[in-house]
Amino acid sequence: MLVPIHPALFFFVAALLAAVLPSRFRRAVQLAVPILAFIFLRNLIQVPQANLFFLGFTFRLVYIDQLSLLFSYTFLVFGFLANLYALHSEKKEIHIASNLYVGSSIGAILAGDLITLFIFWEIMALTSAVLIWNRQRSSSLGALFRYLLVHLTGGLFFFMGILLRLQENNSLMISGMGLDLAGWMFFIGFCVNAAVPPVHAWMADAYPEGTPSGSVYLSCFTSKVAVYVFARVFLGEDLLIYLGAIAAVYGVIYALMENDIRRLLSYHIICQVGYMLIGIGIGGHLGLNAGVGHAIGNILFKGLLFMATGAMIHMTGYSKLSDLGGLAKKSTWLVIFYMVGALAISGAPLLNGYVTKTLLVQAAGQAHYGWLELVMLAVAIGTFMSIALKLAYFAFWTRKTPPSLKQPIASNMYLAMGLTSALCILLGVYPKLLFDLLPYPHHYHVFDITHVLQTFELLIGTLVGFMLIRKYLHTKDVISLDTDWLYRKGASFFIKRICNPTRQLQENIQDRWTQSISNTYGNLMTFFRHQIITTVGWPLLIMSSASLVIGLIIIWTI
Amino acid sequence: MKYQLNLRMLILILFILLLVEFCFSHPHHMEFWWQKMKGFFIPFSLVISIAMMFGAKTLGRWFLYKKPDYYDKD
Repeated sequence: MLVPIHPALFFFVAALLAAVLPSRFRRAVQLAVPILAFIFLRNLIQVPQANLFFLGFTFRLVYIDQLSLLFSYTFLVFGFLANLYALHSEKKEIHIASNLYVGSSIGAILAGDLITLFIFWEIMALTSAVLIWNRQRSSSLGALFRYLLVHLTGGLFFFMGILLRLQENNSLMISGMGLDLAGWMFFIGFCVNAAVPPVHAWMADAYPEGTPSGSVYLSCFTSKVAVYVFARVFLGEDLLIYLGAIAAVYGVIYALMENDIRRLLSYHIICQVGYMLIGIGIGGHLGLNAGVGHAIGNILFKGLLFMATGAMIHMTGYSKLSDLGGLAKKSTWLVIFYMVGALAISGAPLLNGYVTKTLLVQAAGQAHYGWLELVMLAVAIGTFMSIALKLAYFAFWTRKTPPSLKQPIASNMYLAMGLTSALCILLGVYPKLLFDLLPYPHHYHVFDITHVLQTFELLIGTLVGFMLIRKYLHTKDVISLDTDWLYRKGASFFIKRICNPTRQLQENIQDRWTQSISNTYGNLMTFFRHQIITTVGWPLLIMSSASLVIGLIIIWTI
Repeated sequence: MKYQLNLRMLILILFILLLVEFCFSHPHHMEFWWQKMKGFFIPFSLVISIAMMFGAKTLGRWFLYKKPDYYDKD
């Protein structure tokens, strides 16, 4: 048996190595670390708990059960694929930050108590901020500050929840809880990271600002860690069903409006997180399996979509649909990989999205939520329309002459996209692999002929709808307002209308006070100089001062 | 011409799917009325896709679309 080592530690060491090693060795380390961490995680199963006693509390650095194991495996597999995708990057900062980010995500998943979870949660926020900043454009810097502002506020709610929980029952355990005051604090903190409307706008603001490689990492960890803690703490909470449905509809409507390809995909993360929350909110074995299974599937196909769109930006330097077009002529493989991801997220049969969406629909049906089933189907139509049809059509096929190539797609990027596509297909064709890893392993029957036919009807019907109205779908170089308007425009309004006048008032008062104090002081000094010194003279003044001091000393001694 | 051909072909595929559903689909555990209605998802997807696209575009044009430098302007 190997020595038990926390898998996150490998990533933290790799971050240090990335800072000092030359690029050839750094690449080897980037590929080796997720594999090593995977081996040591397998080894750690035999030690399902590792505790640390400190300040009278028991901190569980490692807590392994079926749920944490499933997320950790997926994070490690995707960590490997994302590292492979970013391998060509010469920027050390990306490798350092990505290692810290993936390591802290795994640390958060394996955390067995609230403080350990909180620490890794905050490291995730800080390291992901570095991935956003790495593009080093002025817009990235603005997005970075807003990202930090929102995440640190979310972290504050989380921390208040911990304090209230400690005050109530002196417990740091991560376990199911209701929506009391502490519960609400946790709930809001988790909602921020999961990007649940109305606290979601940071995602569409920040994720498109990262480098192509950085956004691949960003798309898969923060929101999924939040989904994981929702599954741990708020399983079966009805409110999640309604919030999930709102998130799904909201995300897909905004995705249909978007012009920037990565903003469009970011809105789809919000939408897909909505699906996951619906599963967790329904609860029970099927609900949890469906929600968690969809999170796992989503890591793969959303990661693949971010890889493919990142490759488009890498290749052309453009990120807006209004600037792209005709890319199918430049790279057939890119079209194939993108379409695998797009069809998977749309729930096309024989891809992993179909399997998990079928489970979600079954869970809604079993819980007698008819309206929810229809909402999920409508959102699936919008997803297919925006990602597989709109984005693909405008990026790959509209123009006859594609934009000029800035640089070719690196072979490691192709390889990463190919492997991720293969995983999407494998889990879609042979879903037992996923079912065996779910929190409640069970073999579900997803390839029912009626359901397969209905899915095809849904997809082809949508395609016909798209063909009928595609003339009206011109993309324009515009942005769409979202709830971040409140703190982007609202903050400037606050500064202009409230902070500036208040500062001016304060300065006026300060000036007047300073003026009047200096006047009084000047008058006193003049009086002192002219009236006292000229009248009584220096010797008398010194004597009277000395007697005053002596008098004070005597009083103090008595 | 090519567009017309593609559209006709898609409509033909939809008819074939409907036919197959009528012949081979014998669903069980039907919870809701739309699951019992064969071919329900064809009009559903057509209506929803068109409504969603126009709805989103209208929402954008009326309220939400702004120029890219909207937040940079003072």
